[in-house]
Amino acid sequence: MIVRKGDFYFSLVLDFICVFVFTTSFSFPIEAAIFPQLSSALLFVLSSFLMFASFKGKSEGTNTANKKGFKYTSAILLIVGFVVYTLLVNLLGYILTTLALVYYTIFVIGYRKQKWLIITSIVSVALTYAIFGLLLGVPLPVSFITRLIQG
Amino acid sequence: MLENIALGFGQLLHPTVFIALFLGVVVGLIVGALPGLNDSITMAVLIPVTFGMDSQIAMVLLVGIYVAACYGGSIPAILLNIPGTASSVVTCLDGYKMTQKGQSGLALGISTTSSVFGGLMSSLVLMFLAPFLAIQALRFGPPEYFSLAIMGISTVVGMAGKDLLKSLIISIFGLVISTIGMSPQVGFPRFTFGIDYLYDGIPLVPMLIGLFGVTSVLELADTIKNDLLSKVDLHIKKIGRMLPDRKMVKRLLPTWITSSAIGNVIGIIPGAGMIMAIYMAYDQAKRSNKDKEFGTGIPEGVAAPETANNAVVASSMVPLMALGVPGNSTSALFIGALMIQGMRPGPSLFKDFPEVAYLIIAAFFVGNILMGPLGLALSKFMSTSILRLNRYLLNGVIILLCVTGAYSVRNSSFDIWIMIIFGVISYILNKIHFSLSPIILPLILGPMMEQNLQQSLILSRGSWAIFFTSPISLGLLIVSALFLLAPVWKAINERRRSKIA
Repeated sequence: MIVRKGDFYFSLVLDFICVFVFTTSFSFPIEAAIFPQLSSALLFVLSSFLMFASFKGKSEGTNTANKKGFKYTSAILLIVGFVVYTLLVNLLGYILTTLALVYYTIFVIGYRKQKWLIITSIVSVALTYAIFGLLLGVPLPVSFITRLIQG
Repeated sequence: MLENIALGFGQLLHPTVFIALFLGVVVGLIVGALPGLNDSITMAVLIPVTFGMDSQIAMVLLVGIYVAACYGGSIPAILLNIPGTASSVVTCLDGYKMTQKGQSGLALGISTTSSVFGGLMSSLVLMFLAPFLAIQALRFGPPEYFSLAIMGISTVVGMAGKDLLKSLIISIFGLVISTIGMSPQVGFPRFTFGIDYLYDGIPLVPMLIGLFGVTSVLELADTIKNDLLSKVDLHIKKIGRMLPDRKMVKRLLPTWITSSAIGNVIGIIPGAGMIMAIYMAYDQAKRSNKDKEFGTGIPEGVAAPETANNAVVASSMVPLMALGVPGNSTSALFIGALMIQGMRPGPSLFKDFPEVAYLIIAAFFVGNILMGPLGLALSKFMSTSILRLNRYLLNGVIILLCVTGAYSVRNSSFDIWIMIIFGVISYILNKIHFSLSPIILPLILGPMMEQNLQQSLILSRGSWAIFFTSPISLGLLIVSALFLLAPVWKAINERRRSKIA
């Protein structure tokens, strides 16, 4: 039997979410429970229909690897970079972490000319800091060292 | 009403406001011309920047970007056969052929004049229809608003064509996600897992930055890695004469009128989108010019989609400004921009903030006029310099704007998490042929739906008949059913025809 794996797994995840939303809603006051219960029940029916339909369909682009090799490496490395950035931004401050993020993003995509990589990272972060931090007064995160110094 | 329109135009005479509109148009032209960047991405990352701005300046800046980005997309479509924005896909068909024939200047000129014509027509529709609709909307009660929200969502679903089920699933998923946060009626926290930041629900702007900005960077990383965009063949011949002569204008006039009518109607319907408008306009132009072979470099083939996509721009703001229901995902971004400024779109906008409502309308009109000369002047520059911008470096700058923009909404790194989560989900779903964009409208309309559903049920003492006894509500529900059933009916007919064949 041919299964559209993407549809199947997505509908499975949705069904779990629906069951969680529906059952959790019983602990809410009735006024707060109606809408989540209605929408999750409807979504459960629809996603179950998709799951059923996925068993009858033709196999389609759900393979994450092609014959030439894994083609989503850049995207996965970028996502890891975004997560690490978010974890570190409040610790190391905006300027340092964002500088590293811009450099990392361009590098991961495949650009290797160090001079332009460094210039772009520094200039773009400096400009953004000037616009957001200085001009618009957004309190961008500072490093823990700065916080210690400032008391 | 004329006094209010004059008030809108009067504010544009203020130098700072006018410069903001001018800058918005220039930025829109540039981002539209850059494949991979579009109005949605730019507006999503710029909305947090507008936080510190005066509301008038913020709005006209975004209007300028929205007006011009759509036209900007036609420049690489005509010169390089690469649509700058999705709405320029059809322009490639005849536009690039004209370039190959040495008529790139004429093609760009036709694109400019067509865009200005379509844009001005839709600005007039916005100017006169939105305030009228807003007055009518004041008669709406909870059942009507609930049915209106149903109609808004059903149009998005109905336009999905073959992917009806997937679109419906994503829309309902949006409604489920909209229940995160305080319940609108009793203020009970739901699915917040003890996180204070979720009390107000999923923040709209970081989510949109994730959906548009992060996803585009991840997608672009795939594209560049697979070497699909790095080899840009620049065989642009001398641009030459750009503006079409009187004979050409006379020839294109019927196409402009038909296409702008199509664009305006499609734009007003929430969720219908530009893509539908450009294909319909192109198809209509083909039917009206049976003696011409479209796809071989026919001026009407450029004029039709370019008129239609710009006609969608301002008219997509009609339901947003009059009813609080966005016409498409880009106009939905204006909700975020207005909310950051402490305003809410819908009939109350005309009542409480007429100076902003009518300024937006006037800015659409003047922005389209500015787009003409600016577009012509910048076409040559863009065709040579900007299209050669290094796409690797550009990706780094986009992600920088994304994280900074998401953080700036509430000065919280939690919003960067929201941005990443929605960006990654959208990227993964794209890979399995799901589009996450239908989630936007239900997420915005969810709380409105829930509140009006509960108020209606309180009014009717628990009877669901209230949605069918009000003529407006019943009418809206019938239209919703038609939108949902039309693609099903079409699919059944097609299957029947193929069986017979």
